[in-house]
Amino acid sequence: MAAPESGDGNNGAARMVTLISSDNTRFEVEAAAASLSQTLQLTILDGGGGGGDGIPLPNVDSATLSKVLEYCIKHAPAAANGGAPNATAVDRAELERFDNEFVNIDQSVLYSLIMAAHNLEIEGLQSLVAKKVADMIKGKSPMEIRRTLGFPDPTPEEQAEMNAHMLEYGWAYE
Amino acid sequence: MDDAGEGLDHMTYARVEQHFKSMEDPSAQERIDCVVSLLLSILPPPLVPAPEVDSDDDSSSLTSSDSEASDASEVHGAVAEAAPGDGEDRISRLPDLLLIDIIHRLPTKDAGRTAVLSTHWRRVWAATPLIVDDAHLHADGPHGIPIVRAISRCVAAHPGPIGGVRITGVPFIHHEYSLRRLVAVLADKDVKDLILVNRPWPLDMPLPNDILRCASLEHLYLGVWHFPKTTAACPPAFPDLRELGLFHCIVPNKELDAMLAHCPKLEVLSIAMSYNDPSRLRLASRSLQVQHS
Repeated sequence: MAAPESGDGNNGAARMVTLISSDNTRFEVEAAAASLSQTLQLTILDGGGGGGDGIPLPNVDSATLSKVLEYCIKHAPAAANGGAPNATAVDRAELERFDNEFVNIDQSVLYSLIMAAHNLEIEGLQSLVAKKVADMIKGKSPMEIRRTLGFPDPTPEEQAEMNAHMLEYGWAYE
Repeated sequence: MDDAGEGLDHMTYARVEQHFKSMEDPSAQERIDCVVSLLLSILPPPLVPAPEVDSDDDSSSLTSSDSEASDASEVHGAVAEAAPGDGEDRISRLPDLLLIDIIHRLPTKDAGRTAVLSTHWRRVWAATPLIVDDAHLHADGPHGIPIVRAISRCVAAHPGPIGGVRITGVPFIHHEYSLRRLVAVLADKDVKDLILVNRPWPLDMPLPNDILRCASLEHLYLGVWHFPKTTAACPPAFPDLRELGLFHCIVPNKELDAMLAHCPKLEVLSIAMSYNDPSRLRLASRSLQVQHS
């Protein structure tokens, strides 16, 4: 009862699948959680990932994959409910708290996460990271954005070009 | 011929305006503002929410540093949760598709600022469907660019397509030329969603004919306009229009018929406070729902 049929055509106890990161670490995870990834869902529906053979993910290292799976496991129950129409406000608040905490991380991890979410087609995770990056940009001047994102200091030519464009895009600074 | 006893379908803007101005207690302005805010409340929500007013004082708001000059000197109070970086610019190396996803979530001004970051970001900004919301642009900013000009420049700077335009706070009364230019450019740059509300007075501010040329529209909401004659030189063309809202616009049945005849995909027609007798609306359309408020 803890893991009801999750709509992937399999029944009974939670089906497990194995994912293999680019550095050959094996992760065993419920099929329902892995299926948040559209790409993995197809493989799993085809019967892949069970038994001894895992699904190799040559583009995702183990640090990133464990982070991705943390997200998937947390969001799987709500996703199984079809966007959780019957979720309580408490559940939703808890997910929101989790999400905020989850993206409170280094930019290098944000980068790896959004790339993985994109490659694995995990829509919710991609939106979450994209929103986080947008929030980092919001309300800042171009120089502040450059510093936040870790641009090198502008060369005099770049500075001149920026100044020219700031005039051209005056409406963005009023 | 304009028999006052004939009923509401002979309602004219002049009569409505006269009606408003004939009443005293709350002034005509207060009354119409009340009507407009009611109309705004039933519009579809903005694609990107407006930024909180306080946090976006000005781009150069590094001045409030007297309070607590923390080590991370350039960090704004309001956006203090910016993820720490290691001085290496990884985000810019994301595939265009993902950068577009990020820019598409930004309010108009913030998105525009990314165009200044570098040649690469400028190209990505230009590839992101433009979202323009007058609530994202300050009215008459410190350098005195009127909001209509700011909107026009923003739209002009972008090659299109234009994803969504939402203008709800602008009295277009002294900007007829800018308005005509704006609508023409929106038509040229394939605007998909358009919400255009004129703040009265007057009530019969003419809506430029080019609105009938915006063939890529999927959602169109118009508030407080003098509707153009569809018999004008260019006939309406809305092959993809799914939602049409006419708020406080007097649209003669003949014009409405002509519009609907050119909206084969229309699903929602929303008419609010349009001074038409609803029983006299003849709707010729196949898959239409009507909401009348």
